[in-house]
Amino acid sequence: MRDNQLLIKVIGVGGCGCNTVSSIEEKCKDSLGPNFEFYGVDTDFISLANQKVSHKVRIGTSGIGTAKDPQKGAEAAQRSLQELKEMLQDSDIVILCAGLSGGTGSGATGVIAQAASGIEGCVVMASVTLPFYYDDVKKQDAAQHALRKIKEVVPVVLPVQNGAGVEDENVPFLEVLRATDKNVMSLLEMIRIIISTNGTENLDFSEFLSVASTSGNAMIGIGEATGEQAVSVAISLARSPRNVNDRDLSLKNASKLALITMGNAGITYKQMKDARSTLQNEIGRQTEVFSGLYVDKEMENVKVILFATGMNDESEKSAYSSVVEETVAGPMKQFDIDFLSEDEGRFKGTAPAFFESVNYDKPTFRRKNIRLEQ
Amino acid sequence: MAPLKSTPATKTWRSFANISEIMAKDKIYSAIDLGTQTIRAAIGRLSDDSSLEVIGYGTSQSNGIIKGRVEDIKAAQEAVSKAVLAAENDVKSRLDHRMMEVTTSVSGAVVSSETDATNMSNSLRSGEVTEKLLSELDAKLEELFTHKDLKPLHIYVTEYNVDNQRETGHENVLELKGERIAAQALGIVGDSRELDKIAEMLGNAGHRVDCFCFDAVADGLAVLTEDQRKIGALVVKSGAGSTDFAFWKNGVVQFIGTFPVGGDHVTNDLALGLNMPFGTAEDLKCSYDKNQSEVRVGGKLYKTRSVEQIIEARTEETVLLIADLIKRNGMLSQIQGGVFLTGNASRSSFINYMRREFSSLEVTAALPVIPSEKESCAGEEKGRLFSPYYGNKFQLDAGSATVLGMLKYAAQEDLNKSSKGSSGIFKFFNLL
Repeated sequence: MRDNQLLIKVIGVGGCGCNTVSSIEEKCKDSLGPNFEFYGVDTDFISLANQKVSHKVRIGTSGIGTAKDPQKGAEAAQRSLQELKEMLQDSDIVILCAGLSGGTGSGATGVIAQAASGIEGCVVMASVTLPFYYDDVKKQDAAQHALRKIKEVVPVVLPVQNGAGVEDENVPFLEVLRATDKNVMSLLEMIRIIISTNGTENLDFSEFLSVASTSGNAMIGIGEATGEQAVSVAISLARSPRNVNDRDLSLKNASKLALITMGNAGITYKQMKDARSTLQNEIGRQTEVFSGLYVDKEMENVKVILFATGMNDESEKSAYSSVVEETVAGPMKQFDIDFLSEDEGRFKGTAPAFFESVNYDKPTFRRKNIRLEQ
Repeated sequence: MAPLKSTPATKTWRSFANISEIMAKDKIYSAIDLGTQTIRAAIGRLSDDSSLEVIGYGTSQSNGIIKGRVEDIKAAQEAVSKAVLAAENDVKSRLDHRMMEVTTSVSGAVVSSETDATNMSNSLRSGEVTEKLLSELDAKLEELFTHKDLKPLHIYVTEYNVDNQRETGHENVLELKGERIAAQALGIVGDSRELDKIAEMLGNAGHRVDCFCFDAVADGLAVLTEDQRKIGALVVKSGAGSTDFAFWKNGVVQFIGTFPVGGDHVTNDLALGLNMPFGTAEDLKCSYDKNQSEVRVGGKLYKTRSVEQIIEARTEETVLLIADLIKRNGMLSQIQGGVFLTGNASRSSFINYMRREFSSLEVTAALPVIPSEKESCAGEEKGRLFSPYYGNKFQLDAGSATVLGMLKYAAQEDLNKSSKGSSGIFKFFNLL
């Protein structure tokens, strides 16, 4: 917090992360206001110099990047830890943006997150971009490894697969690369509304922090609609696979859910009641929902932002630990399988095969965007 | 369907002079493997020398079972009855046996597991671990794994701890002295509703479920030697409806995995990807020629490569799921005895991906070892499976490990119940 104002720092790490943050700052800085600051962190000094982001932090000493080596990215961040800590000072929320196809984003993000976690009361989140499905196995494996490392220090990670959700393959390539922006912008807009607007039904900042610090997979989505069923439709759109960061995640597994609805004074009790009842039936009984309604006379549409966390967060208690100092069997954990309705092919009408939030009834080649030879 | 009639005594049947003696002395066990593609029924006889003879075997095409769950009770019941009838007819010339009480398999989405532990602090006032005390620990563990919607199928004690002295075997812990004892166990549990549905379906077909057995556990009993189960071996079973694995060490199962993804998913991917009926896709999957650049199905030509792309994507993904779970849980370094593949997992593409992911280990396709004479099953002195009756006629297929392993399992259950007064859930594997 600085001068009694909440401070949200959006930090791009590596080339991909800096591109994301530069793009978001350009589009949203004016609407977001002074509570939000934008930073770029990179090992490639030339690339960083060309970014439009307001604040830039060079890490490491070589200035020429990491040659896709995450170890070098992590070492560079360690070397420049003092500068990074200064950058993080006074933060209430740190949102890290990184691509996991290279070395700086994969290696330095965890180090920065660790440093941010040391700030009292600071909540750290990350939005990371995974390689395209068609990228080589080595790159995919390295990204998954980096993602696991980041998850060790960042409770809420929003992963986005490059190219996932692209329905028209003739869209410009640049547009596909900018898919991450949408998720981070939704998150920032949600925070802005919560900290700067009094809601008819208020979702306060501490409730948002409670959602944002619940570890596990996370999902964010935005939806807009008009008409009699606008609230219901907007919620459906916000949670539809097309509009969320990870289309294979399911709301049913969420531990916590923040939901804000924005619209004019015409939103009726019935609209809210119907929409919430429908949503309640679709999420798990264990999901804790924090909701807010924000009225803006100027708005013609109803807009909904939905942020869910704690998906498949496993916890384990052991009576054994009361007798011995350490557990014997190590980290062995059994996963859960969840069943949601999904109609497709042979498995139509059967309980779908969900494992770690992926519906494995869907053909693998489709989920991985493999182009079949014709 | 009409209930099965009792098979009348035949001349051939009576020609066994000592049949009443056999019936009195020997125990007969029945097992039904509820596969998504094939139902297998087997009848085995445990002699007083502890050898287990396979005396009846029958199969039928499965129906009404998807991803390990009974989706259509009537269809599944009819398929079961066909396999059972075949097994009973097989054995009829020697013995009039009806498969009344059966051990049956569960797999895929029906099964999950959890690791938990219990302790009995300050309970060893005499300073010694006794059988009675271990039974009390077992009862506490069983209670831990019993939930409203889940029933424990198997509970494996993976480690005992007596005042920080750690032991892995039931017999070994009896030699320890101390003040406090704790046990850590793996509980393999089944979805109560699904188990009830299986029991109802089998009940309609005239069978009572004596016990349920997780398929990868049964496969481990059929294809692994006692030594392999002790030093650490991984068994991966891939069926049409699910892919399951069990990791054995110190003679007990330490960890399992169940993915409700199997051969049907490969077929479904083909059907959806190439826009053809499921049955046609199944034929294509089993019969396409890799050496041809194109394959003709129903008057349409498809690139062989596209068929391979679909199959390889699914197979590789399934293998990666298994490998990731094994590696994440630190088991890779514990697999000293190798990786054994059964069912569809023994197919070449699955093996190749497994060998890539487990490159430091020996990965082999495994079949149950069933010699034609009991004397030739060296290395497995007790509980050995053999089948002199079948001789060369008895053709084992890649999926037969489960039903044969269940015969061993049923014999072990029986032994536990009678000799140790156990509930039948805890496993000591003295015999097998």
